[in-house]
Amino acid sequence: MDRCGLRVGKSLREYQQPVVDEILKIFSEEKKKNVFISMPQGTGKTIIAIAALSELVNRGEAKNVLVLLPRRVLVDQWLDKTQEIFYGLSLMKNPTLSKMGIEKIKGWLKYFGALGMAMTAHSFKNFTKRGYLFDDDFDLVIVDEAADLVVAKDFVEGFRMSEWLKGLEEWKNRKIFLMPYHISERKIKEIVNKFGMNESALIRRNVPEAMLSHLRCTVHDPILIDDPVVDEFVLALQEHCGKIRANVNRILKKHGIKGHVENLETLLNPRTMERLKKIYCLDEETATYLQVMISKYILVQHLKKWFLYSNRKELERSILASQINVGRWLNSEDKKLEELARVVRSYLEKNYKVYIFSQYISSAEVIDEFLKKKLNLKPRDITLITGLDEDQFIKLDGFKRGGLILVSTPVFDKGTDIPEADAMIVYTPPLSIEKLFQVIGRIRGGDILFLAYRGFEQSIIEEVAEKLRKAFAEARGDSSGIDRNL
Amino acid sequence: MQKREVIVLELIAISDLYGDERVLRELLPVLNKTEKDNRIAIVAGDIALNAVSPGYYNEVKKILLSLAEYMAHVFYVPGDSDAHDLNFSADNVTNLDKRHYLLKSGNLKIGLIGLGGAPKHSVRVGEPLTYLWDENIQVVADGLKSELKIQLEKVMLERPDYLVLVTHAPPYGVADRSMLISLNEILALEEILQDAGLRMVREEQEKPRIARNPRHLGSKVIGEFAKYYKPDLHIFGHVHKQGGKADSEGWTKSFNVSHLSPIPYKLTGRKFLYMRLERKGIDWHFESVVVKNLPFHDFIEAYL
Repeated sequence: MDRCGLRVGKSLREYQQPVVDEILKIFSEEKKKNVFISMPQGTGKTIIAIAALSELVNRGEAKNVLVLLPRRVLVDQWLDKTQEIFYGLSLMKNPTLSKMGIEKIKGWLKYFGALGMAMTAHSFKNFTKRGYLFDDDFDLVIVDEAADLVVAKDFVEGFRMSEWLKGLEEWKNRKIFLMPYHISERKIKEIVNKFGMNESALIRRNVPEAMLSHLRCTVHDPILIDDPVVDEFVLALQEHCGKIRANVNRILKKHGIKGHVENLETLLNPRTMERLKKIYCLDEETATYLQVMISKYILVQHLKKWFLYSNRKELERSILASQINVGRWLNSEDKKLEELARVVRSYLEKNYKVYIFSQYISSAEVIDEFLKKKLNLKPRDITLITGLDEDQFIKLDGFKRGGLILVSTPVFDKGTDIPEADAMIVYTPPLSIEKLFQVIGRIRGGDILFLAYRGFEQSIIEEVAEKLRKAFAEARGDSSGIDRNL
Repeated sequence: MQKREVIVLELIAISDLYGDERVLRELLPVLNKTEKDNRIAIVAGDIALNAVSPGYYNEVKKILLSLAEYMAHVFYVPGDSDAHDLNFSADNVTNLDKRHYLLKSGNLKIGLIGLGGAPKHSVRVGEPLTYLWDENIQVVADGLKSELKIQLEKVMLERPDYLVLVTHAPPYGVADRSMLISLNEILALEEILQDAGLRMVREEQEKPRIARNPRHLGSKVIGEFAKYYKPDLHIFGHVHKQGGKADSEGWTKSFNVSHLSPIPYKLTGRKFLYMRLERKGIDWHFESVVVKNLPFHDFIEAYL
């Protein structure tokens, strides 16, 4: 009898088995060390990896496994899923160095028959930094949510390994990396490059049939809010940003410094600045001037966001609150929140469960407070979950069972499904389309709605919505790209 | 001659000036010099920088005296960047550090007690700051508490209408959450970066490891004292990031007044606490020193 395998009544989906076979083939026949799997959300990449692991264990090719995930809660979820679908795969979760020594941890693995351990990338960094874990401790490493393995640093450094998983690229054992389908080809290439082209294979599959059953999303046109005063403020701030940017770019050009134009913030990194000083003979005064201008640029960007995303609390504390027009605006009603309340009410009347996404904790708190008052909600009706909460999954469970509205920051952007939500309102969008797609993928179908002030924000949000439609269409395998009703 | 009864006393509270006279030049025109009789100022520490430099005392004197021209009385406590033994006083300028003062103004009696300096845990290791105390050492914490209690008892003998506690450091848990305080400007940038979701990479050899997460920088000694002895007002500074925050939980109204100076947060600077005290109650708000009528565009150009 096999040491491990699928539990009775459980089976892989039709498209999953060929991927498992391909992974095994790459390892055993092609003798490659690294397999990168890029598939859409909801297609069961984790199950594929566990199935491959199970097969390797049965073949005797995997005796010690290391599973790496970005967050502690995802480690728990990963192991729960493993136990639910497979038998014979026991992993030690989140071993904590501060509570037990490495020898004790290794002893547990050896004498209690655990197949390996699952931990966060953060713990991995701590273990490797202290020299407690090496590649020969494991036959196989599985990295889930591996899209963040590399981060785009700057012009000089280009893509670099994530600080948490640094060193993993040097490990010589077998590795399986799981990534969503919607990450740029350039990024995938950079990730694969880090681990060696010859040693690596990429399985990138779109699974339109799976997508169709999982992601029936309708991306609506943004709801526009008329508040010319906000638009006026935001445009003025935008113009100010433009001026600073032009000024900084002029100085960079004068000194022949290429790159950094897209991410001016990288110039605030002292190491980068020191390097630029050496390479381009940048004097101290210019360097300081650049840093002052860029920090000003960041401040103005903050202000813009505060205006757009109802962060009146911060605005009231800022010096802008003293400006006569801003002061008047702060004393008037927040039209965006009013519109949000109207939309939420209409969904609740249709017996929909609503998920409101906000990139920022402060906005999420404002939304929670406002809706409670405006819609006269009971505490159990609305659930606010942010990175500040320790009991995120207990709260999420509360929403799934009996809640009506979930207000959340990006805490559930990876690996957590919230199929109970029928509609998602994106109050403040995430920083990239890739992240937005991940966030929206959580609800597994439904209405997607954006709110935007007419004018400056409108153009941005309309573009975001359009890109999202394209991304959905692409995931569905629709070559025409744009489809409003998927 | 019978003294005129004052019904309302104006109170201006500021802190963390770091010897920046431009800040005062912006503040003073907002106040009317001729109506100074019923106005007092509280400076909650960090009046000037570099307490070991020869020009330090002159700098402090200059700032306090220019402020005193517009006030009936100026009260101050030294901050962590001030000299531990700072003891400048004039007719209408009083140091409140570990001292008390009873201000009688018409029918109003205000009792003031103060404590200067800041807890060691609130600043970065190795910062050239001169007035720090380690409240984790029991004997130090007890000493500070006793000092405050003695001053409280003395001032309470006069049964003031209001008891005002002036400290440089905030009480633990009230308007005190931030990164560790530093005079190094680059660290202010680091905090801005953190707000922007970025992280500044430091050189490997830089030891000890610098904490990157915000934490409560307030003093537990001050926090406990305020909790048990319930002054009516608690005015403090030190944690710039929380400047302009007020807390009214419990009996005590607490104010962090550290945001008059635009250093390091231009965005939240240029405000002071303005309060009107009467026997029947107080009325307060944070007042700005900016030119409010400037068009939005010009306002950004001028102040950001």
